[in-house]
Amino acid sequence: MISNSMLLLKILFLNQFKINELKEKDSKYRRNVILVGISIIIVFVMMAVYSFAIGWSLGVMGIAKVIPGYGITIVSLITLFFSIFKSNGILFGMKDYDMIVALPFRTRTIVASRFLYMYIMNTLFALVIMIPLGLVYYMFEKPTSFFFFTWFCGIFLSTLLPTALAAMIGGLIAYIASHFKYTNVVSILLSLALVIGIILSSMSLGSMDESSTDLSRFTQLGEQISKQINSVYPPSELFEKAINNQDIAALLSFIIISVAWYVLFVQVLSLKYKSIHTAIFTHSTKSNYKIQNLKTSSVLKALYRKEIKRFFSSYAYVLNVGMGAIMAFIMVIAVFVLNPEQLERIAKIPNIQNMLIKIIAFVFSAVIAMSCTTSVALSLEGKNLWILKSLPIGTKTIMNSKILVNLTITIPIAILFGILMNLKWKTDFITRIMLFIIPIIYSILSAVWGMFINIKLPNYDWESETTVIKQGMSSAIGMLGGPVFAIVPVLIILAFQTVPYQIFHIVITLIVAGIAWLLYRNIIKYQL
Amino acid sequence: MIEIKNFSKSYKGGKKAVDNLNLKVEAGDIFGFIGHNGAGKSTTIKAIVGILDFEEGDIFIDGRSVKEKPMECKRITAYIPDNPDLYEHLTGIQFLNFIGDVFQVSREEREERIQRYADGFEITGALGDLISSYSHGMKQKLAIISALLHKPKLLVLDEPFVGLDPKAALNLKNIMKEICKEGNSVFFSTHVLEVAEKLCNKVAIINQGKLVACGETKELIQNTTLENLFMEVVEHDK
Repeated sequence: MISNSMLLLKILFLNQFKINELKEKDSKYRRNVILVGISIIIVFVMMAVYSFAIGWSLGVMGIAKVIPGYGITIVSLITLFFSIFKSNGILFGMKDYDMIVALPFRTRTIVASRFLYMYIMNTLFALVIMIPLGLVYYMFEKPTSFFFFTWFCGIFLSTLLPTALAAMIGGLIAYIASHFKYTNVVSILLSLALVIGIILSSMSLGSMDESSTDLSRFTQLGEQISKQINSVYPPSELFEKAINNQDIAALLSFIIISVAWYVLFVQVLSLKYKSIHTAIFTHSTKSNYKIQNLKTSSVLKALYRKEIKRFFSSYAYVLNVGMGAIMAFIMVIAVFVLNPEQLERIAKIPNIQNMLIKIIAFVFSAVIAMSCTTSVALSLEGKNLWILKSLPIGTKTIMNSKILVNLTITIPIAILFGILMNLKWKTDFITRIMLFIIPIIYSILSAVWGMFINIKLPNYDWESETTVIKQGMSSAIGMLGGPVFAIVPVLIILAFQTVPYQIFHIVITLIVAGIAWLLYRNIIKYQL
Repeated sequence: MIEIKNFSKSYKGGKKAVDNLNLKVEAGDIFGFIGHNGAGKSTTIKAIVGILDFEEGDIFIDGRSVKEKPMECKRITAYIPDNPDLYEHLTGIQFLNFIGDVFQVSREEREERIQRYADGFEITGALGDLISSYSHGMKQKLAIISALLHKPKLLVLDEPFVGLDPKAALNLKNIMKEICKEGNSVFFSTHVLEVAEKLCNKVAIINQGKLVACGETKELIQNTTLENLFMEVVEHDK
């Protein structure tokens, strides 16, 4: 079974990362991968430095002992959160399913290979977080050589349990949804409920009782942090004990729990794998259609309708790319409902109200801009691209339809933001207007930026749409572009507090609008 | 209707998929484009319908260059690929309506044509179902109906009979004849030489990217069969 799983895993990697294309010296793909590889290395270095800095600050405070639990918890929570929505696409969404299932592989082998693919990808991320933290721990605590072995185990086991848990939740959602007629809608609703639940519970866990934290009593603080981390992610306690106390029993327990979850997942899902897959990909047909009055519309409207149906028909598309809009919606409601004291406690920033009015529009814009459907809209045409290429439709109309879908998702929330913030705060006329204009301009910038990036980094040759949506470079760069454009003004406003912030609002909005216009001009000249 | 002038297309590595191809399809022709796998048929077809860019030579549809006036060419052309990947998240009728909107076909015309062709291919009842639930043959039929919606002057098909049941294949042949009777043209690639022999008034044989035979079907085959002619020219070309 293991060798077959490895064989399938190898094929999966060859296919997903187009390794053979990468070997061709002059291929465009190879050039793109080199560029993207450099960007990934930069992001990884930044993450490693950030991780090191956090570990260092804990060490300086004299509470380096919380580092193991902290590292495991961070890696596990991020893995869990980002794998829940990915798991369905990788487990069930691959187009090679029919071919693989027809070959003499056990279902367990297929499930294990799909799982290991997710696990390896997550573990690469774990390495970036855990190695710097381990280094800091070693520098402050000077542990014995047992530490190296334990930390090594921690790195490779940190993602095993959360990946298995995420895949189980993903599988469970797929299983429940497969019993309904509208499988996709039920999957999306269940997952949305789960996300909102995770966000709300993490908000409540995040609000530590600060009255009891006396910063002069670091040991007590360390214990408190440790206790809180363990309450969020109980297995971290075992790893913490294994590292801090050289507790072999705790290490063994940690290993057994992690591996057991993996085995349990593979065994349980194997039992239902084929039936879930069949239920997801078989459709109820009525076969009783009669041609009635058909509605005609413009080319743009027809493309827009096709595009919006594409968005809402895809579980991965709605949940991953639409996440920014969902988070933005939660943020608007939270900021509107909560009073300044509550906001101060959650954000851990004193005197927040005065600062908030200056930067809230940009912070909100950073969140809403993460919903960048355009960054994958072109790639998702995939094998359907021949339709657009052979039809008499201009590039401008195609691009406009994709941009309009993005704006349909973001603009209503941007307007809601403007209305609710205007109701909440009594402020000057310019600020009131800018509370509407800034998020709208950023929504436009994000949509145009995504389209621009997808034109530069298209991927039409995919096996699973999850590859494009969750692992695609265009998706990552598109999603991060808007927030970066929005966070820079926040830093400028905070750095120059003596200058009236309204000036920054107007100037930055004009600059952003200018960038969006230039990008749009570039996009509409593109030939499919 | 189609005029291909010195058309060449090279892929990565410099190997020519099509090498200096010249041919002419007149109005009213049913033109069969024959060749073995990898001979350059699909490359030529994709260049005609504007899917594939090319640098060498030019292709004219109804006198317009596909390089210089791609929109005008596409407006009068319809293309059906060998393996139609359609929008699986749409229903059959939504897809047809989408194509109708793109070509701005009036409501009355699209209703009448959809009714006629869908009844002919016996898929009217399935038009309300998602395309993802369709079989390969049903997708093929839907692609054919969508191609006929705007009454194209030129119908380009890549291996159109693969996956069609005998009744649907006969229906398609009749539609092709009907199109040509009205002064329009059909250009299609096929491996089924018997079909080409009976259906096409003109054929062209392509081998390793080069045109090795082209002309009136009757004149080319004379006392032999298209199969014999094909084997002869391909063997001779080796």
